[in-house]
Amino acid sequence: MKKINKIILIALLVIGLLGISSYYYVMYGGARNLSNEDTAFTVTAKSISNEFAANVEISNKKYLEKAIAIKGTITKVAGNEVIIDDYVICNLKELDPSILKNQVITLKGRVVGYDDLIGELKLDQCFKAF
Amino acid sequence: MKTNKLIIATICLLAGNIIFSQKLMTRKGEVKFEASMAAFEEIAGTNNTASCILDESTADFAALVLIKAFKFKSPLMEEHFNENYMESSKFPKASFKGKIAGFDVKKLSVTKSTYDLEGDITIHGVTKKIKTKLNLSQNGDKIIATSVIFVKPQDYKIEIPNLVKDKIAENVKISMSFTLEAN
Repeated sequence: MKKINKIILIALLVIGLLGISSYYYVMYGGARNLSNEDTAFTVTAKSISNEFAANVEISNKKYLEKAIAIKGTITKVAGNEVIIDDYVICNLKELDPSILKNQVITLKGRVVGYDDLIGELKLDQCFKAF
Repeated sequence: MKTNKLIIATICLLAGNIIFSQKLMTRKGEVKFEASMAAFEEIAGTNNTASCILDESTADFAALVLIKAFKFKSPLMEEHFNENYMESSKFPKASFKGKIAGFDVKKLSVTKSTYDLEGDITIHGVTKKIKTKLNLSQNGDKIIATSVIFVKPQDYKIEIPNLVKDKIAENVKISMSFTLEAN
């Protein structure tokens, strides 16, 4: 009798733990981590801006959702927002006080899309690439 | 002497033109979407990088959000939103272009006033005419614009499988807030 109780208790515990961990996996798992990903393209802010200006649709197919490294001169820094060559808006994953205006930099990030209202390319999850 | 006057007049005109055709903009607008049903899990996403331009002289109002920049509590929900519903690789953006009826910069104040906003909205590649209310207020040299609209996913050819129909609101609430300033 005691043994059966123990087995049931352990089984319940295991099921409970499985439930909790799968809940956490579904709710919070599966996020992308760009630092483990290969860089799909390495470009300069100028060259990618020319590509998007020439044809948004083709460039979207090529770059959207990809992890790319982008090189250029920083024209503005405002908190998490870093602008490269007045054209590429990079949102940093974490604040980085070592990123300053007028630096020549290479940032790695995910291509979110082309904003044709202002005429800018947007990246997020960015960080300094070495 | 005459030419001097002419030059001054021209400069004044030009300067006036520049001041009056001033465009206010932001690229840090907030757009929230909420499709939760009572008693089911929260379905909501926020985008903090929406762009918006207001032309003070013509009352033209335009806004754009990139679908992939919507953030959700759960990465899985974000994935479903992008891949199954909004198809963000095919339709990476949603936008609005329209005019504010009866807009006059001089009439703006710290207290909110409501205007009619009319224009075309494009979501999931489908464009529709909409008429809605826009709240405007002025804070220093900034103009704050907010609005709430309700959209039906099927109007924009966003299919919701029968299996989850009860969990997703029929009218999806989209709230927007833009702090516009001179660039």
